[in-house]
Amino acid sequence: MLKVINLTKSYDSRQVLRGITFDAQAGQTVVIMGPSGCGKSTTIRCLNRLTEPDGGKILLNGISVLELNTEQLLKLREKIAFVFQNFNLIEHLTVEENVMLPLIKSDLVRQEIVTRAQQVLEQVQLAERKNDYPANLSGGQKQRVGIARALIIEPNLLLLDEPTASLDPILVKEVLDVIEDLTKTQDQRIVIIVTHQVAFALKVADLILLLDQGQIVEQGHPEEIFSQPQSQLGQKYKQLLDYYRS
Amino acid sequence: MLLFKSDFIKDVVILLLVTIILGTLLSLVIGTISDYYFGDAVDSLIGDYENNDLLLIIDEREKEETVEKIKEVLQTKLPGAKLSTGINLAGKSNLFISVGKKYKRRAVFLNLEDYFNDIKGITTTSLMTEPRLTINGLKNKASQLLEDKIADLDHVAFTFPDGDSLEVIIDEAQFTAQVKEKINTLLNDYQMLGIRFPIKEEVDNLVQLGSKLEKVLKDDYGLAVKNITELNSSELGSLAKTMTEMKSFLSSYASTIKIKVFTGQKIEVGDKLIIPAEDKKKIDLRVSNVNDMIATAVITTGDSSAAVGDLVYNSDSTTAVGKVEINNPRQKLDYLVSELKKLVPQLGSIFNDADSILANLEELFATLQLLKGTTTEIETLNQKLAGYTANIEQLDGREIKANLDSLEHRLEQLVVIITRLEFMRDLILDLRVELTQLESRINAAQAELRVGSNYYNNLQQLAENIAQLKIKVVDNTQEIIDQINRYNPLLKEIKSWQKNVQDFNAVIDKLIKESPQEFAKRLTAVSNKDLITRLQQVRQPASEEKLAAVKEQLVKLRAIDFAGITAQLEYIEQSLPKLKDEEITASIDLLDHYLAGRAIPGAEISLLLPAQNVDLKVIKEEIKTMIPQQISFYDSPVGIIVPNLRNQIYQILSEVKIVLTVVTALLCTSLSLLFDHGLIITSLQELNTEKIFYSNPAFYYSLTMAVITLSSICYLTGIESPYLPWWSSILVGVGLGLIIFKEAAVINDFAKAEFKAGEAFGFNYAQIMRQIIIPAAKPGLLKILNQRQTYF
Ligand SMILES: Nc1ncnc2c1ncn2[C@@H]1O[C@H](COP(=O)(O)OP(=O)(O)O)[C@@H](O)[C@H]1O
Ligand SMILES: [Mg+2]
Repeated sequence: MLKVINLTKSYDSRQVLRGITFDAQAGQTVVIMGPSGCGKSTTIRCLNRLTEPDGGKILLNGISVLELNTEQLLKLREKIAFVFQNFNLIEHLTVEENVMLPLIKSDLVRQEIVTRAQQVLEQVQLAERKNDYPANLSGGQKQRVGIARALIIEPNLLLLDEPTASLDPILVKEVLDVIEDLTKTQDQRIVIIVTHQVAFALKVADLILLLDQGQIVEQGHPEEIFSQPQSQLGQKYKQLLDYYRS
Repeated sequence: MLLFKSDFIKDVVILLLVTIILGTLLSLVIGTISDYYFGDAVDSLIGDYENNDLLLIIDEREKEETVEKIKEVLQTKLPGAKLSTGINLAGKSNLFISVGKKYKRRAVFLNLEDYFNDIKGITTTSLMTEPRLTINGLKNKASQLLEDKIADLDHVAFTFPDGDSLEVIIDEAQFTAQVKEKINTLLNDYQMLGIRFPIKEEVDNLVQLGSKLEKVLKDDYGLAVKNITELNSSELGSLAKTMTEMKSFLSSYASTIKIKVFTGQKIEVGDKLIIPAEDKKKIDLRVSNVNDMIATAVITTGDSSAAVGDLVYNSDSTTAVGKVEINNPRQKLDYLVSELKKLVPQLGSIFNDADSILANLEELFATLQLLKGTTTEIETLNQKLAGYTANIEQLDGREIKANLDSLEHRLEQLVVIITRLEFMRDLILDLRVELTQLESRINAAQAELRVGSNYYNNLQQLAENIAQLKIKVVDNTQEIIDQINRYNPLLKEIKSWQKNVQDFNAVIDKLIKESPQEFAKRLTAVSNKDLITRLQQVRQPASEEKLAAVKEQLVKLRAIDFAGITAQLEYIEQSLPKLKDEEITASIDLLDHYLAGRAIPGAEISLLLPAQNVDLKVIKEEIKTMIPQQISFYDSPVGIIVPNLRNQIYQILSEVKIVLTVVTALLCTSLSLLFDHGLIITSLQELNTEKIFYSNPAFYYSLTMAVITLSSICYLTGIESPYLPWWSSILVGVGLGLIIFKEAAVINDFAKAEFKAGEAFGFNYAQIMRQIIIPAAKPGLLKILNQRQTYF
């Protein structure tokens, strides 16, 4: 399980995170929502220390993440996958190589990695594009490669930072479908998704965190939050959801 | 630093090593290629560098003979020396001599060129030994003082003086610059103070005077002064002297323009004036001197011979400012020369006349001897006649008759002799007059030519000789003439005596028969005792020695080359009038320009002084108090290292080599920094959140890599030159590092997103660089080296 306690972060004396605290149980899917610049990415990046928080505590399956030394941290990251808003694919590598990449420093033999890559690519329905280069893929395909690359390490924490934000709206769905699928197939993995897709959140989230100005203004099960929001922000999301439904 | 947290430092070290090795190799290869390429070209032109010691240029026609002789010299003096032949050009052959290593020492080189002095076919010998520095302008004593110090410098093989210069042979070319610098430092310890006397002023005991100054400056000022006065003036000095002479020569031929300025007009030095000239042209004047209402000017355009009228105008020809008086010495000279030209051929004949006069004088001397004999004889006769009057009774008529005949004959001879003496006296007097006239004509000619020209000198010599001849002729003939003159009044008496004797002789027969008393009385009249006494008084033999002196002078005169003088006069006549005033003025201006500020050497004292802590002003004042003459000072360095062509070319070549090597080293370093380290630097910059440069690891990385790479390559290639001391590569490295630090990101695009992805995978810096960043980078050494590490 994941336990985040009073996480803080400042940039140049400007406080971006003002004490983020939440728990996530194994197999849970957490959705973080909030206006732009409220600190969602910072929060999610702090979890694998792509961004170094200033204070607080992160416990992942009993490991105090912030107390790890570099080596231990790198080891830890081998089981934490990150899906970037802008895909962050390696342009000079093929789809297959991109997917294999996270495992090349593992003890696995090449063939095993190839097999696994094949599996995850099939999972995101891109097996036949494995020899293509990222430049030749559509945004949705790129992000599915990003997801495959995340999945290949069989992460016990999967972090997705606005995975569909950079996509053409008509491509959003193919990615969300893949994500929805993967949140359902694994019961030990904690998935944390930053997204603005309210409907999607309602569908997949076990826990929704509403972030505003570096603080969690409301957290709870989607049904609760979207039916009886406590915060102003919650109100706004409810209105948004109602709008879609109408 | 991120770098050290992973083993990427290994990659960096390998990259560095490979870069340094490749850079060094490349630099060396390029240096060698340049050496080979340029060196070859130059060697074929000027002989093998560092191999030859002497260049002999010989006449190609006598090549075989000369080479044979050279070989002989080499065999006896420098066994083992190598002789090689260079190109033949314009009838000359170049021979190169390379002496063995054991002969490379002072003693040998001091005489090296002298060995070949006696070989006729050699036109030029010149020292070729390289690497070598030549210090010029060293006074002998300064050279002696400095030579040991220079010889003791590191990398100096040996030194030797060669005329005005000191040759310094250096161990190896690479040390040339270093040695040069050290010699300069040595030379800069001293300065030379020259004390010059006015030209043409003869100063005795220059050296002693210098020593006196030395002593005073030492004792009173505690200065380490050294008197290095030399007696012979330098070549430059004689050049300046010649130029000064030329100037005075030209000045004496320039037309002098005297202007009587009209009242109310004003003329200043430098003013431009005009004299109208023939064909509506004008003569331009430049006023050179103004004294009250009299100005002098020189002609800047035109020639005085073309002047029209005697008025001088201001520069726009509107106002007459004065009356002009032109004195054109060339016109005068032209006249004079033509006069002299007429005179000189006559001189020869005059001396030929003198020659015959000499013969006449000799004859005169013989005549005087004769006169002496004659007079003695007449005296004897006279005594005899006088004796007859005493013993009249014992008269023997026939004996008397014989004696009278003899006397008559003698008297006749005496008259002839004295008449001849008179003629000769006139001849001698004529010669004296002629010599006097000649002397004054030559003196007059000379007065017009106050110049130190050859022509003038000849004329001077001629005048002196003629004057001397005149003196000798006058001195040595005066006595003779006096003597002749004393005979002169006697001549009449002698003639009348002769008449008496003739008459008496005619009547003697009759007389003897007449009364003996009458006879005795007549006889007394014939024996003229008084006249004999007077004859005896004038009879003083002329000294032969005096004639010898005159003769000697004549011989001297005959030695004068009259044909030569005539030719010279003709030459002057032809050349001088062709020089226009404007040309003379321009030439004088030019000479003035060259001579300006140049101390014209007269006699000169040279003092060697320390360069530092010397108040020259004070010393000069002190010296002025010690020397009465109008002296001038100049201070100069003790000696100057002169560039030597071959040395220079090789210096340039070695610099070309160094430059090429350095450029290659710089290029390698820059390329490596830009494309290899640049990527790393960019990554460090991108990942660094610090905005201030000095807390940016990329900054230190850039500097370190640049300095290590460049200075290592420089060190390993052994680049050493005055332009690149060891620390300069560090400085340049730092500069390069700074540039790269600033510009690396421009050249290298660094995919931050990909790097972030790598970080998310749990890759360390090394893994990210090796697997993600470097494979995507531009081609470079780092990429090549990285290939063995990439997974894909
Ligand atoms: N590297 C950074 N340096 C300075 N400020 C940052 C940095 N990253 C994010 N921020 C600031 O922190 C705030 C939160 O950013 P972020 O977590 O990216 O917001 P969100 O993902 O919710 O849009 C924003 O105001 C953003 O400008
Ligand atoms: Mg964000």
